[in-house]
Amino acid sequence: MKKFLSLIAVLALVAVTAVSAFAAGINADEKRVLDTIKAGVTVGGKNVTVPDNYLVQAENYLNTIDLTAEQADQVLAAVEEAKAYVLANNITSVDSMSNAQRQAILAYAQKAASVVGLKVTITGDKQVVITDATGKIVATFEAAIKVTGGQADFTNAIVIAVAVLGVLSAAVFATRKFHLVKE
Amino acid sequence: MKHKHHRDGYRKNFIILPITFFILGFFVLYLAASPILRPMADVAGLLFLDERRPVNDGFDSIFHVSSALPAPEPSVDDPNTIKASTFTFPSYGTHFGQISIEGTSVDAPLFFGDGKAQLKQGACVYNGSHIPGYGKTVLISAHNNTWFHDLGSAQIGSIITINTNYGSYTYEVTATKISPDGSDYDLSAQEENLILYTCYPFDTLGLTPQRYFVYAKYVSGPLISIYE
Repeated sequence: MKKFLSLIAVLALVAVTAVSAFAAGINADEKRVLDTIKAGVTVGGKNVTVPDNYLVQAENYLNTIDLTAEQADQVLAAVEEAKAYVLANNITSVDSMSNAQRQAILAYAQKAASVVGLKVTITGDKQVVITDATGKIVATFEAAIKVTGGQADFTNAIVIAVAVLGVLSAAVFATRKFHLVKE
Repeated sequence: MKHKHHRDGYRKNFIILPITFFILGFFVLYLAASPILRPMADVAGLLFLDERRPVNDGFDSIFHVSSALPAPEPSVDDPNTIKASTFTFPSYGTHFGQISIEGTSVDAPLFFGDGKAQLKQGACVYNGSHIPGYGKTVLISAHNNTWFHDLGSAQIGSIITINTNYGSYTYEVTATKISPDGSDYDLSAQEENLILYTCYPFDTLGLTPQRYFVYAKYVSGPLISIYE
């Protein structure tokens, strides 16, 4: 539920933005939006908040645009709609959501994103990625710690394999050429 | 007939069996001998492997052009901070700086966003953390077999320098740690600090849950006034 709430929040943020060219900083309207999202929602007496890294992504994105007061109001309206849906369905966790509820949340996300040509994509490894019309990533929901090992790079292995095969081939040729093994 | 038998025997003894044993034994030997074989591969790389792709090859960059732009304005309240509205905030996937570590060979382009494509190009700031100067945690990763291969040479007290499109920053290494599961980081700090990490061991081949972390405290550089 946290993940989808934050997804709605981020999508609401990007859905109403007329993207201007990378104006850094958080204006008063953007701060209003961030503060509302940080407050979270109370479901069944339990206050549920958006994970910090999702909030940070939203803040980082807001640093690249300028949200107007009207746009901020629309964003907050979208956030409230998402909250209302969660409350109406008494959703307390992602695990407890039915497929229909997941689809409904995703539909909220897709609708919001399409306003400014943004797209929500579920990747092959079930990661949520938000992209703009050119396919450029705007936000992701991946884990903080990435795989940064060399397992994807087999170049060295290929080089050595070729070298060893070459040595083997030479050995075979020499053996035959000089009759080193009695047939 | 005798000649055919000889040919079959030749094919079996000198081609099929050697190649089969080679394939079966190769990966085991490679894993064991990797520390010895790596220098050989590096030499081969000088001869005919692809060079590292140049930065900006298909990626947006705001770093190389930054010198042509006006410098960020200092904050009204504090001349040691800069107004966020007077510089370009990097978007996801953008090359916006360069990172180097004293006493090591680490010297890498710096990207915002740590997707697979960006990690091939240089060191990457996790987009769920902050950029240098934001007054919070900056989490940066890079591959252990390329850009952060020499991260283990960073010593306590070493200076880390990050040049960005909006200012230059220095941090001092305070600790290093081998994390068994990659969980030894904290993004909730409310003061400027830097965390670098990469997969561990540095020469590992294959997936590993371990990460090598380098922690550093802020020394210098313009902090950002995000509401100006």
